[in-house]
Amino acid sequence: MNNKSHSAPNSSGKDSVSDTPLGKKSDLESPKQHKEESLAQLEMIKRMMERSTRFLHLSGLAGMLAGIFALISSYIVIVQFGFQPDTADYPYFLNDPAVNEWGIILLALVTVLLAMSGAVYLSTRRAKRHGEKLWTATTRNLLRYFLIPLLTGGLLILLLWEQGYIGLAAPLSLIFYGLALIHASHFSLSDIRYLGYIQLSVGLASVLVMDLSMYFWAFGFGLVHLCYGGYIYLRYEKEIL
Amino acid sequence: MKVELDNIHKVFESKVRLGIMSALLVNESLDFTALKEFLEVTDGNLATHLKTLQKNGFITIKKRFLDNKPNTQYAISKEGRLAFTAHLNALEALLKQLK
Repeated sequence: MNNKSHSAPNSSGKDSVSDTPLGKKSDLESPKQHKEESLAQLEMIKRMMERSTRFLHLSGLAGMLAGIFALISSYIVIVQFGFQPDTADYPYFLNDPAVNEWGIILLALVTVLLAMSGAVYLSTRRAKRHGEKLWTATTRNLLRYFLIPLLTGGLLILLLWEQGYIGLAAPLSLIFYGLALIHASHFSLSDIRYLGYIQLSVGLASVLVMDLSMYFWAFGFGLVHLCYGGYIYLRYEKEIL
Repeated sequence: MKVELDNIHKVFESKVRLGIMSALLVNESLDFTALKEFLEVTDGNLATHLKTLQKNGFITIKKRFLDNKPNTQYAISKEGRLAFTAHLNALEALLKQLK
């Protein structure tokens, strides 16, 4: 690098080298102080760039918690409710009019709410530990980008459900959740992009084997979350706890 | 070593200004509130430093109305990008020499 010819706009000419010190007492500074000051500056620059683009305090524990919630609710839906669609227009509610379809919808909503509350709570705790503020333009972007595909998918599932396509609920929730993760990964850990690809693939594959789609759902939201959350936890959090 | 100090720009001596430039380098534009949250400084402090950067031609300012409220968007200018990258390079070169 040739700095003689590339000096910054205002520092050439009237400002001689000794007039543009790094720190204020720079004429007395030793090389060691220079080094410390430069390191501190670079660290601060890196921190600001990160803080203004990505929320990096997502909790792996929250992912594991979401996995456990998903396994419990898929057990209830499959075993207790006997809900196992084998076609897109699965006539589940025709078999037994006593079965309350709101039970399944409510359970799904409660599961999502519990998982998201866990994520918000545990991530807030992590951010606080790192002395980071939670509600910034970055987290607002993260939420917005996560929620747009998720709410679109949720609405689509309900509209299709209304028309009798209840068998599509499980595959579509995996697919749209995967898209939401990929979308949100631009504002958070890039690791969650791969989690998104996995959920997306599991969702698409489950359409091919419709009679197993609820097991695919339990695998994607349950087992994959559990493993991926564990991986994030071991990679980023373990040493802190 | 003195050669590298050429590019350690006076404007970037302040931590707040350094922080503003860092955030603007990696974002298309940011408004006053977003910058305030990232830097955790007071309104007055931030406004002063933004003015200095603007005077040096390092940032551009776009005023608009959002929900009938004035909203000012700050972005890094071409000169700002050049100066800040030069500053970063100088810091790295300095560190390399002092290793």
